[in-house]
Amino acid sequence: MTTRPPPDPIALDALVLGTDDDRETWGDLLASPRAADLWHAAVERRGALDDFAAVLTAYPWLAGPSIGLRRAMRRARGSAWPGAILDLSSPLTASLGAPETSSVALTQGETRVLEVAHGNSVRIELPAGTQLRRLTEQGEEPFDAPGWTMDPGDGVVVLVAVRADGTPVATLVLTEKAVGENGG
Amino acid sequence: MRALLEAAFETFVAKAGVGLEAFRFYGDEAVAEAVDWCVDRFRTADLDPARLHAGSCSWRLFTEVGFWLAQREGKAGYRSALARRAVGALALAWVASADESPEAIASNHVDVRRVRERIVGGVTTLRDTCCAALVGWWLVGSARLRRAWFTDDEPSDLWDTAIAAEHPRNPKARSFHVADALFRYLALFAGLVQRDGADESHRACVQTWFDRCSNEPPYEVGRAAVRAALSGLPSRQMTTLRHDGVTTLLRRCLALAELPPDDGDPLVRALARSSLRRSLLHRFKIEDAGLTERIHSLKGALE
Repeated sequence: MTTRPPPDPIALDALVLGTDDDRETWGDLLASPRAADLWHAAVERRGALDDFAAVLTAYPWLAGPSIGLRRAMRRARGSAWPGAILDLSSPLTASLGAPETSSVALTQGETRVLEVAHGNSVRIELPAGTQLRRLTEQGEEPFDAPGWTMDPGDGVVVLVAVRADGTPVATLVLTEKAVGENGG
Repeated sequence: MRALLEAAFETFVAKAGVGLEAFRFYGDEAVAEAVDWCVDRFRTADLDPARLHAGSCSWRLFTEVGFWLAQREGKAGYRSALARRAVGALALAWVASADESPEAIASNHVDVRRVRERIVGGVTTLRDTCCAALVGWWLVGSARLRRAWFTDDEPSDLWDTAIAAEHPRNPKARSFHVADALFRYLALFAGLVQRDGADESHRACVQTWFDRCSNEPPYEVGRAAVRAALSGLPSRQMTTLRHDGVTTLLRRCLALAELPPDDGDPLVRALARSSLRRSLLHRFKIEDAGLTERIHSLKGALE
């Protein structure tokens, strides 16, 4: 007997959501030595989509620009862009002696949604030849600061990394993190 | 709607590498073409909300690429298209394994197909009861079991790596998540989680660890929600109750693992013997030398 290949990302998404619990698809997943990694990636993809959908629901004006940006970024994939580094810092953890910053990569063609708590900041390290522009409900504007510190009432902050010729290569969507209860 | 569809198709096509040719979307802008088709389908088709998955009756529907591709091809056509893209697709058949692990021995006495169905049922129950992320940690901790029951793959580096990762030591949180997921899976699978008529400590445990939670650690319901579900119980009392509840539940799981080989459901016993780990005690802050020793004495408690 030959084991079938594991489910592809679309079928995995249906398993994560529970919208299509096809037993053979589950069997294919459980028969794979890479099942855990594939599942974690699927949960992460679903989480990113849900986060983006939540932003669009709260800020519907973003829908039109978002489509345009995604299509422009896909067209720009032919020429490589090395990516940007996002350093997230929290004054609270710094004061407690915990690591002051954590870093995540922003890759070419990506639309990344990040929740940022009030007082926390995101610093963006761009490769040479790339600039930031800020997208607002009124349009686009140059953005010369190296990052953003989230203050109450900021709502959503959309920063677009663009090449010198204005081609968008990646989009960063920062949202205010809701104050919730602790989990423990 | 368009923006969500665009984001979803881009996620699966451009980033996850799924091709749309099998679904008759071609060209450089297959994503845009697919989005146009979905919008048109939504406008013209008579979609019955009653036939949608409960979680899909919202904006989320427009992020579910599988749903729209099934709309385009029909359910059977959608499955067929997925299968065509799978390399070397063959039907799963009976597994004859030379593995002599407890779970494999149990499988020799049961119809493997039925065992698979029950195990998959356990996974969907864990996902629906708690969250999808815990399933991922269960998959990490169940590699040996899955190889025994779901495949007759030859030994390979991939399986060796997966099995070695079953008992992560670093970081500690990873070990906790795996032990936690295996335990919750087992408790649900064995029918030990009762929502009605149970004592208060069990209810506190169920409200915290066997109810819908987010996909983020520690994969549990927040304190405020648990207290509210327990009629506004004071915080400290709630903590004590749920600690007692989870300790009792662990004892009951251990009792299943310690059953004589011919007693009870062999699959439950095999799962219990391979699902209980000492790091579980650290995860739930249970300090009990007797429990530590009992878990240690189980074959398979290797961490």
